[in-house]
Order: sequence, then structure tokens, then C-alpha cells
Amino acid sequence: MTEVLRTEGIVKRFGGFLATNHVNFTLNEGEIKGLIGPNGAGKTTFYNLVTGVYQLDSGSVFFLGEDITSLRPDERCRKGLVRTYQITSVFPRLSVYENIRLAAQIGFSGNVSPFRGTSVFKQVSEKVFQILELTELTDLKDQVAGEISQGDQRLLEVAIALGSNPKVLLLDEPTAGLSAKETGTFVDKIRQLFDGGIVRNIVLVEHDMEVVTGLAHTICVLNYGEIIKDGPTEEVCSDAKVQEVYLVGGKVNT
Amino acid sequence: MPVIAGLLLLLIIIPHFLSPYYQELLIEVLVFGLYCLGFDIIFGFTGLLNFGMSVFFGLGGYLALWSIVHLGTGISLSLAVTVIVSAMFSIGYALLISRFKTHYFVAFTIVISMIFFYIAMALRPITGADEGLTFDVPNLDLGFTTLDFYDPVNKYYFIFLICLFVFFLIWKFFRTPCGRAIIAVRENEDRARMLGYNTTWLKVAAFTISGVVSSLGGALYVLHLGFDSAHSFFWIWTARAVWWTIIGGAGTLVGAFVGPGVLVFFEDMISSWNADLYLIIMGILMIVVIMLAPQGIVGTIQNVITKRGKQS
Repeated sequence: MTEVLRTEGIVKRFGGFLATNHVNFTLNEGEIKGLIGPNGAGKTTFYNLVTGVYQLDSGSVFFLGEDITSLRPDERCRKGLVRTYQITSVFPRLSVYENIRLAAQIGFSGNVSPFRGTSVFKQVSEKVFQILELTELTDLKDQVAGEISQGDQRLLEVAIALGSNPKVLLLDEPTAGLSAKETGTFVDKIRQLFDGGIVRNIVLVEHDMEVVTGLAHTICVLNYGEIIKDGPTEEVCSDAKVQEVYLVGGKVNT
Repeated sequence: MPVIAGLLLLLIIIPHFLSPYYQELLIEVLVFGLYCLGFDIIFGFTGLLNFGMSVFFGLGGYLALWSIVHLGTGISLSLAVTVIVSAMFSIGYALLISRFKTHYFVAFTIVISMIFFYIAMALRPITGADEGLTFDVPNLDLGFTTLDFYDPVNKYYFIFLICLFVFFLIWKFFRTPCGRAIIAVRENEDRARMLGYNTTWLKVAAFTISGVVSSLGGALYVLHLGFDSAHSFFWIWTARAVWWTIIGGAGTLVGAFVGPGVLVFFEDMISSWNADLYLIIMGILMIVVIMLAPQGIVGTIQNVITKRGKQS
């Protein structure tokens, strides 16, 4: 199995607080990996380190075999390392279509030049319509993104991420705030995208264990900024130490 | 479409129905509109409240003046000089300023504009400080014919064509991938960066375009007057850009011209009656607009039209 994303001994301190402590994380090709842990375990910090929002104190990040530790967040995204947000972070005053187009046009127009015309929009538009189909947002394309339902905004987050041609997709609590029904639809959608080969490598940060066990092949457990367990889903769920810090009978212990 | 065509036709024929006094006033509207267009690019479309607009207004004016007085260029060439030098200046300004955010950004731009004002006041031999410099505006050489630039009608058509051309370019620009990306920066800069945009670079591009357009406005104003003084660097010109653009409608492009269009004539009307009253009324009007119609004149009209469109 080839590794698509790997971190080597990454460390991040905030003052005296050790948020990420020598984390060695690996995502293999064709894998959905759940990343779980109690609140404050360092999951979102981990995402911010991998995507380059925060600077590492030490360690390295490798993406598709390349050391990307020194790259800026926008450069990492252009390489295909794409994330979604825990708090919905679409462009609320722009249309659904425009939200996706903004992500999709980068793949066609490269480093956006002010001297480039609109001719590229024909190809971009085709791609946006494909994504709208995939995420079943076609009917909402002209709506203002801030005015659609929470569930649809979550899907739009994923649609925007798809626009960036993700080779690895980092999902940050994608079903937070969704009803049980919306969550079910969302999980089905992600599985479809995975099975359809649209995104083959996914990291999933999620509190809802049903979502994690339903989607993830492997699970990595963080606690106090350290990995305490990493392995196949069934094995991790039955691990005594994991149950102690995080799970009680498969339910979230908060 | 018919509305736009009608408006253009009106702007083409209108100088023939006005007295020279109002022709001059109309020229000022166009010149200030171009200056505000530059401000709208950086404020309305990029979301950066650049309080250093007077730097570009003053610089544009002096670039045109210096190029005519010292280099002996004609009007067109002096404008080309303005565009090239102000573009280079804007890139430097943007690189310096784009590391600041929110309130620090605004404060820093005010400081820069004050520094430029005092430098201009100190450099009396080349700027004329507060008494300013008067110069002879050369005839406009168009290749096939030369036109007297002191004739307001000639001046009006020349400036009108420049405004139309620049307006069209900017309108077009905000429909290109780069223009859309700049709007994304306004909406949510962090998110735009996470989509893969180099947002610093986009802001530099926006600053450069804004700076060139505003400098061109400043240059045309000086060519219109045949005079420039260090006061063109004073912060009041920034304040004018802000209130003209906001009352006209920030982020609409057209609003940049509608604001000065309404307020220059309004100021003329009130001032002939009581000059002090103008600022009081302006202040009240500004508060009313921000509280009741923050989209400005054009933005509010657009909102009404979209609402009507949705209902029917």
C-alpha cells in the first residue's frame, strides 16, 4: 500500500500547552481513516498543521511522497490536499454555483492572472455542473449560499472541496449540527463519492461514532495531542484503552 | 440595455445643452467618478478600507503636471506616464501595506497619506506646497487633429471617453477568474486562501488596479484645472472618495460615478446659498444613508429591482 499523507513527529505548542506531541500519522491510498478523540485532543490543530495554517514547531509533512512542510496553505491546496471546515465556511453572500466555481477555476486558470479572459469559464462551468450533479445541489445552484439549509451547506462544503480536485480530503466534523436524517444522507453521499472513485483518500474527524464506524476502514485515536491507538476500525473500537479514554460501549463519553 | 443606451446617449449630447459653468461641473463629476472607481475597486470589491486614497489622487496629479512641465509631453503621453509610474508605485504600496489587517491596516494607510502630505508640503520647489503650481495645459494632439483643451466641450468628450474605456475594462475585469477571486477575498479571505488562492498576490493586483485608476482620476483633475497643489495629498480627498462612493453605492462600479454626480451638483446648489450648511447637510445625509440604505443609491435600486424580479 502506498502512503498518500504522512506526518513525521510533528509537534505544536501553544505557550506551555503541548497541542500536538510527536504525531506520526499515515493515510494509505484508497483508505477512509477516522480521526477521533475527546474534545481538545488536538484534532483540528492536527488539520491546521497538515494544511499549513499553523507553522510546525518540529517534524515534517509528506504528501504523495513529497515534503510539503515549507509550503503555504494555498500551495498545499493546489497540490490536492483539501479540507472542509467544522464551522460551515462557505461564501455566504455568493450563489451556490459561484462558491463551487471559485474552487474549480483554479484547476483551469492556474495562478490566476489579471490578464486572463473569461474563455476558461466554459470548461470550469462543465466541471461545476458535474459537481452539482454529484452532490445533488443542482436545484439550488442559483440560491445564495447563506440562505440554504444547514444540511445543504454541509454538502456545499464538500462540493467546494471537490472543486479543488482533492487527492486527499480532510473532513472536519462534517455532520455536526445535522439531524439524523440529514446525517444519513450525508454519509451515503460520502460513500458514493468514495466508491465512485471521485475521492479515494479521506480523513474524517467526527464525534458521531456511527458515522465513523460506518465510513472508516481504519481509526486513529488522539488524546492530549498524542496518538494512543491506530488500526482497523473493529480492532480500535474493542481496544480497552480507547474505550477508557473515549468510548463507553461504542457511545461518545463526554 | 435600453436604459444603458439611453444614459450613454444623454451623456454624449448633454454638454451642448449646458452653460460653460455646468460643463466644467460635469467634467469634475467624471474626474471624481474615475477617482472613486479606483476606491470602489479596493473598498467595494476587495473589502479593504484604504484610507490612503489621497496619495494616489495627489500622485496622479503631480505625475501629469511634472511630465508636461519638465518633460514637455503632451496630454496623452502625460497620462501614459501617470499610468506606468502609479502602477509601479501601487505595487510597492501594496507590498508594504498588505501585511496589515483590520484596524491596523486602516491606521497605517492614514499615516502613510499624512506622511505624503507633509512631504509634498516640504518639497516647495517641485510641488509648490500650498500655493501650488499653475501650468499651461497643452493642446490635445490626437494625431489627425489638435483640440484646444481649454474648451470645456473638447475636454468633456476626451475625459468621457477615458472614463468609459476604464469603466468597461474594470467591469470586464470583475467577470474574469482573477476578478471573481478578488471578490472571494472580500467575502472571506481565509477561506479563499484555503481554496488555493495566493490572497496576498490577489490583494496586490487589486491595489495596483485601484491605484492606477485613482491616479488617472487625479491626473485628469489637474489637467482640467491647469493647477495642482500639495493639498491634493490631503486626507480630505480620501474622505471624499469614501462618502462619494458609499452614497453612490460601494461595490457597484456605477455608484462611483453616481455618488459624485449627485453630490457635486448638490454641493454647488447648497454652497451658492450657504457654504457652511453644505457640510452639515452632508454629515446628516451620510448618517441617513448608512443607517437606512447602506448599499448606497445604486445598490438600493438594484435591491429593489431584484426583489421585484423575485416576486413576479
